[in-house]
Amino acid sequence: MGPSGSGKSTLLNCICGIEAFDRGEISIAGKPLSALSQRQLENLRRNSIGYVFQSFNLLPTLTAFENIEFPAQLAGVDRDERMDRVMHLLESVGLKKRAGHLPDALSGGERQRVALARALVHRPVLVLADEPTGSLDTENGRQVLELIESLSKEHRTSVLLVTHDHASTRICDRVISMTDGALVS
Amino acid sequence: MVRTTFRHWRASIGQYLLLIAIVAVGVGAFNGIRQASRAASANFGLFNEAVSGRSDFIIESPSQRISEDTLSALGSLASYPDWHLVPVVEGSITALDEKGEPTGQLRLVGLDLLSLANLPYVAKRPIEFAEEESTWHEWLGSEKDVWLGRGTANKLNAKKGQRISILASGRVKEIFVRKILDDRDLSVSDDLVIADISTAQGLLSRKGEINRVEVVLERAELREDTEYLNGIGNRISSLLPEGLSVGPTKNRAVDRAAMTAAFRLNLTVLSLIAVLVGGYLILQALDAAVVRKREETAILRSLGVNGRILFLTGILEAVAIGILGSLAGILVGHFLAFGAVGMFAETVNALYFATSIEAISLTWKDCATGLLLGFLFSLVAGWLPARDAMQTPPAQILSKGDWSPGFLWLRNPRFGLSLIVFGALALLLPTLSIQGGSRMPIGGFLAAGAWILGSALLSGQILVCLAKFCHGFCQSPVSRLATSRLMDGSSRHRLAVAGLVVAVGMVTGMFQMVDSFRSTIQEWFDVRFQAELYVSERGVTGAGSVNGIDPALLDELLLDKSIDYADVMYVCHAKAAQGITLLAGVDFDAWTGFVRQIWLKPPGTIRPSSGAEPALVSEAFARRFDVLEGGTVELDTPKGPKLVSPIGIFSDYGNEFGTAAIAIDSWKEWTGADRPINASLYLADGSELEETKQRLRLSYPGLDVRNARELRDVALGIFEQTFKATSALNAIGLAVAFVGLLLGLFSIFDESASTWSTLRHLGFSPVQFVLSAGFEGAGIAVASLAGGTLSGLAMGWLLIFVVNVQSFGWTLLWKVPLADFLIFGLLMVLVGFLSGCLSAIHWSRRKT
Amino acid sequence: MKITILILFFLPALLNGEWIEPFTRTAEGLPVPYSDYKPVFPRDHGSHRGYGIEWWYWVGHLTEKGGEEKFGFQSTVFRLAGDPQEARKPAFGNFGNRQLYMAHTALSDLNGEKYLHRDRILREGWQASASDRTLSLKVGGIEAVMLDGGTGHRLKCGFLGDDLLELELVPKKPLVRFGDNGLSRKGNGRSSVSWYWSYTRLQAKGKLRYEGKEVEVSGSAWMDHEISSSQLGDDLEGWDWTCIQLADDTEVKAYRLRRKDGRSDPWSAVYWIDEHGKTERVYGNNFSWIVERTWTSPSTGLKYPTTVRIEAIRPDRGKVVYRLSPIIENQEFIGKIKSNAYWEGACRVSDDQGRTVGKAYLELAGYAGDLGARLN
Repeated sequence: MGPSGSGKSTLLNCICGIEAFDRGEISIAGKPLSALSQRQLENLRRNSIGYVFQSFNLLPTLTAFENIEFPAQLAGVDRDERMDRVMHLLESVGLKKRAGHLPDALSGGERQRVALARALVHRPVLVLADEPTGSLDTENGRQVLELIESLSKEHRTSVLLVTHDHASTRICDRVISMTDGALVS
Repeated sequence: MVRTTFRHWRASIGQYLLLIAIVAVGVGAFNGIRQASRAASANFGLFNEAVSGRSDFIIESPSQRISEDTLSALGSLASYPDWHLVPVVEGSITALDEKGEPTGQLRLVGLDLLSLANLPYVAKRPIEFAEEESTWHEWLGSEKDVWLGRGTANKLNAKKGQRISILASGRVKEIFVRKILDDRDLSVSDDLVIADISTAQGLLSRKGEINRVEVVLERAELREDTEYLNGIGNRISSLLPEGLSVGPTKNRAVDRAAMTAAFRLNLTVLSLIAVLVGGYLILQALDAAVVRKREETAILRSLGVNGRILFLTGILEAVAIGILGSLAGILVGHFLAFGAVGMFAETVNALYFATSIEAISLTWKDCATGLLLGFLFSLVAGWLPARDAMQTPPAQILSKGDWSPGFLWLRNPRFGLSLIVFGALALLLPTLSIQGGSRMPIGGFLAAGAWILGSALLSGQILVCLAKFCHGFCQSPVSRLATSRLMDGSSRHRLAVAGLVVAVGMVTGMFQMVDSFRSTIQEWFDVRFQAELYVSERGVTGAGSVNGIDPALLDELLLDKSIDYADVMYVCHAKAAQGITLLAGVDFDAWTGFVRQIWLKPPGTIRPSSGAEPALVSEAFARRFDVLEGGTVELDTPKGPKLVSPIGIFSDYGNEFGTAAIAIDSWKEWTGADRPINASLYLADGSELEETKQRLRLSYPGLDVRNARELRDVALGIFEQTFKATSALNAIGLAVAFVGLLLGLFSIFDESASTWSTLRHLGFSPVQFVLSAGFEGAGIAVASLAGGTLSGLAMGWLLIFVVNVQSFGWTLLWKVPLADFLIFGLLMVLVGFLSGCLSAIHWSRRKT
Repeated sequence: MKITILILFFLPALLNGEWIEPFTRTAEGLPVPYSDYKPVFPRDHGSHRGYGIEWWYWVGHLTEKGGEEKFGFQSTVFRLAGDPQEARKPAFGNFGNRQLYMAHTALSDLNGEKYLHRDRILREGWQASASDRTLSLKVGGIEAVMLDGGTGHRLKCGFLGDDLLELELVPKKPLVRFGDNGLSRKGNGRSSVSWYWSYTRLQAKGKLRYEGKEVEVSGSAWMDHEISSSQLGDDLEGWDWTCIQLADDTEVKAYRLRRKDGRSDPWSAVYWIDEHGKTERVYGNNFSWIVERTWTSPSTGLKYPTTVRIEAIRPDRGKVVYRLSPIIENQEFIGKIKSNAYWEGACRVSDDQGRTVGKAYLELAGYAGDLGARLN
């Protein structure tokens, strides 16, 4: 965690290989990023990383179901397996009934729950969550945090959660503070 | 506000220059066509004007031919000093190169070079036909001497003293270049050959005959005084011998203008389409700019700048582009006119009447029209983007994700449906009659416009339905994303489709018309031309030349023993109350007997009115003079008014003025003329076609002797030439539509920036992004193709069954060129796909 | 072009005492008038097509019947034959190339001080013709035919706005044939001769439609008809010429040829025609032509000596003086070609005591430049 401008989001972008870094090394599942080609980075993002944005960033023209399904398609999960996973996740986030709705028709909490499902559908080793509760009210924020906690456990996935809010750190195993682009604790 | 706007101009100067260039091209096309049309038809066949100046009255006979005796009788008019009489003989001649091959058609104008000196215009700026020291004979020249303007001399590469072989009235003759006149007015035209009137008569084998006598007033200062002019007109009229009439020269201009009104209107409409398309591009581009500046605008909104100011700034920007573009367009148009005028004059010559080019002039009216046009269209084009900018939410809301303005009316099918209904109702409107006898299918044009626009508006619906249909089948993330985006049917997608639908509709409509025309003419040829050989004046084509063949020459040719029967045709202009038409003299027995025609109504199915000359009339004639079911039409002839009454109606696609064919004897009696236009030869049994053709060609080098196939090739060649401009316009229309599509896609991607960023996080590769964009482009193309083909079919139907029938008076067979449609469709989808890919590549390059 | 010069080429032939035998043809092959020719009328009032140059010239003074209005008129038709060698194409009827005609007409409104004039150049054909059997001219608004009785002419001259002068001209004296042996000599050249016939006093009667009003007019007129094929020498700058009708029923014709050096040519002369048509003459050294006043044209800027005094020694009467002064100043004829402008107008004639003794027409040509050079 850290105050705004401390370099949290940049760190996330570096971790998922979108932004290049000048010094040091990032390794995911034992693979150093600097040794990977663009294509391998894309594959990494596709297969090993899930991403949750502060402002949800659902694809506006796809339904909740399709949004969740999308990373699985990218990762090449076969159709039946995909359907199972999406249905299961929809159930887990409590949105089975809203599956056919477009993001516009969903509330903020619902959208973030869809986003969470989307981040997990392709079974990533790491989920990067950038202020996942930042755009939500306290109650919805609480629900989403609980879901992150339970689902990461269920899917045995590490979650790197970025926040500036102390309350969010309660679900974390380890808390690292950042200021001005440097780790301070 | 204005400052921030124009700072963007500085930042992307290239793009704004491009926009200005687009307006310039649109306005230029309109203005250029306007000026070229004026220059190509300004003299209305009065070629002598360059030499003798503008006349005030014209004395003429209904057949445009005054005989030697009639002219002598007109001599009494010469004793009045109030006017000068300028007799004119003119005709087409064709220059031959060293090998005896035709190189170019020229207009031979014969004037009384001596009495020209009396004219006030000539007295003011004398033309030196001979050197100062020469005698008056030298002024007139020998029977071969001609004078050329600088333009003609350059075209022929001719020098003073040169001898040039020419074809005239079916004979090969020689002219001698006496002098090249450097007068500016003469230099402008590149086909004018001047000779003394008796020389011209000799060259054209028209001894003693002239076309008209022009009247120039001595008191030039009174030429605009209506009362004075009326008085003079009445005096001349009271002194005229029978069979001649006098009318103000202006009337002829009005007549001729009316004859080509439909043609010129068509061109104006086409050039307006250029402006319209330009407007569409500006709309797309300005909208793209609005999207690019969205964040800045949103911040401004957050700072409290109100929507109205944003709107006005947007409009101001558009208007600035419009005005700068129009100014450039006025220049562009002026230069375009120089390029287009030749093509223009050729078409007028081929289809309407003899004309030659005058100086291209740029008037204040042209400038004002161009400026106004550019201003209005950019205003309209700026409207939507400006409204779009006005609706930009404050930054706080914008930052929440993709945001697209809602041009709600684009999503509402009611507008499109109303337009289609309006178009259908417009078809009920009667045609608009123009002076001179042309008719304007106003309803047809309105319907065409309304249907094209209507289908463009409805095409958004097609896009959505089509995308929904495909979405179900899509499995890959790329295609699913693309179809889902199209299904969403954003305003911008709809706008892109609409632009393409208009282009496709026009292009496929034209496809059908050209194809229908071609197959109709081919069929007409197959039926109509069954003689073995056809003889006509060599080197001269088109309606502009009614020279005809020297009768003595044709008589000689027809004595050839291989010829069993000759169907000789005589044609001249005739005036009816509704305007100029053609009166033909034909072998009536043969035409009602064994000469084949495509009969709309075979001879005998209509009963002629008693007291009228029985005639076989063309469909155009029957429709124009409303005698489809019989009746009479009064034609003005040198022998006074005569009635013709149809007994049969045949198909003819040669001209839109209509033809009435009567028996040769009556024709000669009515017109007092005896010059045949062509002859169809039927050979005697046992004579060898090829051998006869070669023999006749050798014996009569001034005549064209062709067999049916050659004639058909020539006619189709002329036909293809006529539609060349249409194809060029089609290509331009499509190109512009695709540029519009590119710009549209560009804005679409700009607006989806947040989506692309998300996709990147999700592991979407650049290739997938480009592919998805390509599918999006292809999807738009498919939807446009569907909508455009539908509206194109409607266009084709309109052009063939409404516009052609109403304005030209002929029925065509409707042909839908499926193969062309298919190839065109495939091409379009491919181009759509590539457009999508290209804009995605360009977009992502700019973003990284 | 030569026609521009020949507009002015109606200079009367000059007579000299010595007989020079003329050529029969000019260098161009045109026939030359021959001596002792006995004209046969009306045929010889018609055109002599073979000869190079021919003109018919009428001038006169008219008065409105029962009114105050006074008019002068000039009406001239020129004919120029084409050179037979140069006419290289067949002549078509309506657009001939064998003969060229010019018409000059002028009307002087002497009370209203207006001068109407116009000119036309036309080739033989539908707009211009001259019969070779009798007087029958039809050239650009001038029409002249013989009167039914066989003597006298009917002359019609059209003016702008349908104005028209229509006169019957009846000779009061027999035709005068100038020159020796029927040949009027113009210079020393062997071909410089002409047949020169005049009616020096014609009674004029007819009507004039002028400014829309038609009035009857009467008065007296003079007519020249001259036929030749040759041209003048190039040392000539121009000429002053007059025909005077005196109140005593006699006429005077006088002219001086102006040379470039400013002197009068010796071929200049004065003629007297008595009541019966008999003539007397004196030559250049026996008379003087004195300019009293000049008039400068506001249109062309040319300066014309319009008031002159002619002093001559008449063989039987001694010294006579005729003072010619224009009735109106502006009678300048400006044709289509401005450089050929000339002055030709109605004058009153007075004696040395200032008494009016007659009327005249005065012609002042070659003031626009070097005419003689352009005559060749």
